[in-house]
Amino acid sequence: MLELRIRTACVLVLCICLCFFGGCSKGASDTKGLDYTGFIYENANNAALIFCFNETLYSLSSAENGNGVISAFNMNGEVLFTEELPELECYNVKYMCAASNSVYLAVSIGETASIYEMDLNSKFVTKLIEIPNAKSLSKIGCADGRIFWLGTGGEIEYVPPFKAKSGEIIYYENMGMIFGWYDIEKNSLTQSDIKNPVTFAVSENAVFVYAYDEAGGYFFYNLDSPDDKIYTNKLGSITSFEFYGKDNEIAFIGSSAYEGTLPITRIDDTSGIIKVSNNIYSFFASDLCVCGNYAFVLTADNSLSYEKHIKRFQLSEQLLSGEPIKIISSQYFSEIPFAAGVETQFNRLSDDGFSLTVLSLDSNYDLAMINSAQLFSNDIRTKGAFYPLNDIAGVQEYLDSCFPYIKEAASDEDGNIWMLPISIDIPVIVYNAENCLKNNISFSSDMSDFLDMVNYSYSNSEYCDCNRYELINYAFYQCLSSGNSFNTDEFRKTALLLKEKCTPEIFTLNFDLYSSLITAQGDANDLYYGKIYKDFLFTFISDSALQLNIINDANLRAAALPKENNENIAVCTFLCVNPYSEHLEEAIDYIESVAQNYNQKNKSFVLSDKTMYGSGALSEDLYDIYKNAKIVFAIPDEVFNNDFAKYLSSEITIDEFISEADRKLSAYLNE
Amino acid sequence: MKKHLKYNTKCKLCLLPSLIGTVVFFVIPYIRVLYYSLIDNQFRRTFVGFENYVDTLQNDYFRLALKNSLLLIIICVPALIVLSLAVSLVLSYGIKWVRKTRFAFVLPMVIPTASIVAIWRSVFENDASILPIYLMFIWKNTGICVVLFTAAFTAIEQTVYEAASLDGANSFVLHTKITIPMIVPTILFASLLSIVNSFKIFKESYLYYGTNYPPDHSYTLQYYMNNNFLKLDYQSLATSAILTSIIVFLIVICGIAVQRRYRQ
Repeated sequence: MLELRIRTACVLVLCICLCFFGGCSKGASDTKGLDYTGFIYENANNAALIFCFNETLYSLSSAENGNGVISAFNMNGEVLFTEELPELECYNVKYMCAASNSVYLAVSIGETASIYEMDLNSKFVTKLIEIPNAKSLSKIGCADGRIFWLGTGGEIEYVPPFKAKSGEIIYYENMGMIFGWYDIEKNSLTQSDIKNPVTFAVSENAVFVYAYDEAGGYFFYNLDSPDDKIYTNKLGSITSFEFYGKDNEIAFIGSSAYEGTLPITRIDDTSGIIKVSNNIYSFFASDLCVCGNYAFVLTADNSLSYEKHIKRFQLSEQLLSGEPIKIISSQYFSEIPFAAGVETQFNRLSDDGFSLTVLSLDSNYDLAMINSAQLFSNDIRTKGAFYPLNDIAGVQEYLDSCFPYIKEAASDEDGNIWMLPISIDIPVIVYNAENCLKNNISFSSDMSDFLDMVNYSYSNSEYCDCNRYELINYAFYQCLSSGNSFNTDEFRKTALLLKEKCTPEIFTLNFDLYSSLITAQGDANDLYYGKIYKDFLFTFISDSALQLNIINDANLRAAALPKENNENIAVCTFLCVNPYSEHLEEAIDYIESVAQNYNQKNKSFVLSDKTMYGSGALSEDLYDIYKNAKIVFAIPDEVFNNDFAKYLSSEITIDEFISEADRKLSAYLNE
Repeated sequence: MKKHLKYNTKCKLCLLPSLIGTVVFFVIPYIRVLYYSLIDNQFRRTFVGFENYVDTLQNDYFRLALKNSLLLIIICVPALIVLSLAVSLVLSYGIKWVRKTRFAFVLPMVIPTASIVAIWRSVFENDASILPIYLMFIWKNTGICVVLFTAAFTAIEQTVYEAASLDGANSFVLHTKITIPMIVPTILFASLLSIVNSFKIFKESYLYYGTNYPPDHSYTLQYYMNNNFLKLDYQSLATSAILTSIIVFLIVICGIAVQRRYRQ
């Protein structure tokens, strides 16, 4: 009896401990080891639709003759079968779903919407039903012997925005969507009377419709309990959502209210929105499906790219616990926010607001996201406004794997690791080697020759682009990187050259060139960009994310901007932890997750491992440029910009300009 | 006695809100700033004594800023007071039609600073000397001084002038021997107000030069403090703020002493 009591007590204590530690565990710590970069299904090229059922991923792509081709993959991305649909063009198939032995296809031809069935055993395709009230179908889903469908067919109406009780302005575009289902056994078609459906998803035991009404905005609605509307306006209009987990957790894409990477949340307002991946924008994603704890997304790398990949991401039920990580910044960053499986809230402040927040020891933010081109970037280090990252697991390893100059910049003079580098950007000239050779264009590291060559190119072709403002800025920082004065022969020579040879009349911008590099790769027949791509000479690209987008183009090479010393000037974007954060523990967990993840997967030319970036000529060029660089922290533009403009317009002489710029620089450095 | 005590208590109660406001919004922040000026860094918080004060006083740019701020006081405040006095005298005792123009002197106080600077820049065509800033300060502050002096003149009993006139005093003697001595407290008050305002010339100067790094002659204490704020250097900011407050305090003490001496 006593033994039983002791055993019971032990079990109780164990349960309490488990509950306690389970309850205390925060979201970030539960997410370690997850893959935020995503597993790419390399064998599934040009997919137009995807669907997952019973650990099998089905994709629909187009054959050369335009017919649809259904392929099936296992969870490792290996092909199980491929079958062409002889009578169905890929273009006409709008959605697919699967059940035990069949794949169902939503087909819209003209204004006729139908559902087709493909028998997985015989691979035979038959038309199942035509839906008379629908003009086209946008989604179908199978459950309980029924095929639920969503399509257009109702009246399109203008719905004015309205203010919800929560204070948000709610926008809804009524596209005349209708929702219904087809009972396979009874062969009966039903159209639901629910108004304004947006999309729907089938969970393990229920069908949820996401819809809109004027009483409270967007809501989720369980088909089995029509009186319970779960209002939530945090998502806005969404393209698609899918359930996972057991507590109504969803993954969604194409939200009008949330621009983050593949996000997950709960259908009610009890949790925030969490980013799962660190390298896709849900905006670029065109299809989503979920199998167990995996989300599959059909996505392009950017808005211009035609090429879409199937990426697989691991989801976790535990992701939804824990506090959001609050990040302040005073700039828009083009880098895609890293995910690490926690909810991140960005608060974009003015420069003054940022300074005030940091100086007032505000505990209401966890991290600061800064880049070295921002004025206070170096002050964070010198004033000690950071939590040292030395003891956080994975940080030192991550820095060891970065280029040495990044590692050096990440530590202060006392050896404290004050920041976690996220990305590095160096402006480069990307050029078409063959076209440039034909036109006798080569890029010298000497400023005079470089400017001559750009001038020559501009006078002979419209397919060149060099950003004058960034070139000037870069040249100034080049000069400053070797000393704290403008009064040097090197700077004088550069300023004279820039005035003489770098004029705004010649250095015009041409944004179509970069677009052509992205677009024409996927579609060489593009009428507009295809021609530009063919004749393209060179363009100026300062953002490493944009450089990485085209890194596999075999026609392209990269050249560093001219430099007097041997190092290229790099801009580093990094994270600092607020030492006074009220959620310091979570912030540290988050940094640990990010560092461990980036240690292997940060491709923003931060890591020194050359194999990360491929083996093409462009990647070799870029690697060499990024390897040989230096991070120079910003000084205020006003130190030289206004006077340089006056010098360019001949209001002041070179001596007056240098003397004035030097005076301001001295004041900035010594006050 | 009981009634008197009650009245006293009522007075104290009436003062309480103001006192609480002063403590919460002035005294406590001042003590915090004082504390920040005595530590090495608000993040590490190591007590360093007067090291920050020594550093600040040795800083060339702080000394330049202090010199420029004091020059502004020494040159502009007397000029402002004399000009305002002259204008007030003309408005109060001078030609009648001039009196109708008095509203013009108050206009600079109500025009937005950005508009004033835009006009000033067009007038001076971006003259980089200190003159536009000095003139702007005088022009902008003349109005308030004129209002103060005109009010002070009105408070002087007319009978005093009549008695002096009967004794044979002419207009010059009337003003130098009666008007000016009787408004000395107002002159001192206007001077102190102008000195305090001289520390606030930053906005006009910043807009005029369009940079945080104006020519050396216009680099005042507020530039120094503002730039250190942007550089997250709270210690330099706190130290220079404390030093500035000490300077203002000393000036006020001197003003009060002079005022007392005049009364005696």
